[in-house]
Amino acid sequence: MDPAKITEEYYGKIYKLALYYLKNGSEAEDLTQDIFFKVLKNLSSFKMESQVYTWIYRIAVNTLTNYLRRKKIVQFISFDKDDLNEKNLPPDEEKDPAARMELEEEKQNKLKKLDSALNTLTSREKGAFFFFHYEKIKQKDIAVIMGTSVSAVESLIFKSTKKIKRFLAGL
Amino acid sequence: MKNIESEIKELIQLHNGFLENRKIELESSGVKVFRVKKRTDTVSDILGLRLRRFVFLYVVIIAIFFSTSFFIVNSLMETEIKNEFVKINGEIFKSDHKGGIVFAFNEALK
Repeated sequence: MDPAKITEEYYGKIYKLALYYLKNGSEAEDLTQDIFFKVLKNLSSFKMESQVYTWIYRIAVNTLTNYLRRKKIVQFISFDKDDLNEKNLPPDEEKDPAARMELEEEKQNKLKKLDSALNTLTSREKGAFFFFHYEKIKQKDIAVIMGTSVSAVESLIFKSTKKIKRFLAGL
Repeated sequence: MKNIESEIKELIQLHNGFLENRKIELESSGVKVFRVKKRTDTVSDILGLRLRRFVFLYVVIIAIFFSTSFFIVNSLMETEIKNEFVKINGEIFKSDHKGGIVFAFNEALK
């Protein structure tokens, strides 16, 4: 496997996943780098038992979940009110007025609404929701990525969709 | 219910489009895999984080130390006072509480 080819093919995809989880462009870039550092470091130990993309996504999900967990603890200790729980999406647009102009107000409101709904999901539900609805990945492969069974993935997708429906219906 | 389902579909499409655009932006700007220094790891970030951790741990350790020593000293004093006897006008009194009576008796003896 060619590291350059893998980087070229998956860097953007992992960045998209990181942005979905973190909602912050620069943080997502940093985490994407960390993930790719791990991927390239462990590339020689990758056995062709699974597909490359599921393996990379698995590393990404684990790294992002650990990062968010650590961030939550640090915020709890330091009493920081960082943007982790901010219900504004996209936060980068909040900070960057030029980018804000690009999105129409209506679209922004819709994205904020979805973001608030996504905030009600657990990290695993969020992941399953993303892979199923955004990336259209098969449940069998999502199970490999998340290190769980197909029935657990089905349940995660069902639960997350139900939660989002309930949230939007309650608005 | 059908309305909500179509709304969710629309929202996902919109969000996916937004994420896809950001992804394309990054890819077109050229992939920079390893920067020398990460943006979030500035010196003040690291120092601030370590300092906060240190202060938090320090406060916890001090709190544990003081509460433990308070209970130990308190229980020792209680035992000492409980075992103390005072003699007033030939009669022996034994203190049965934290020391109020003992001190009062001591004052009376002076």
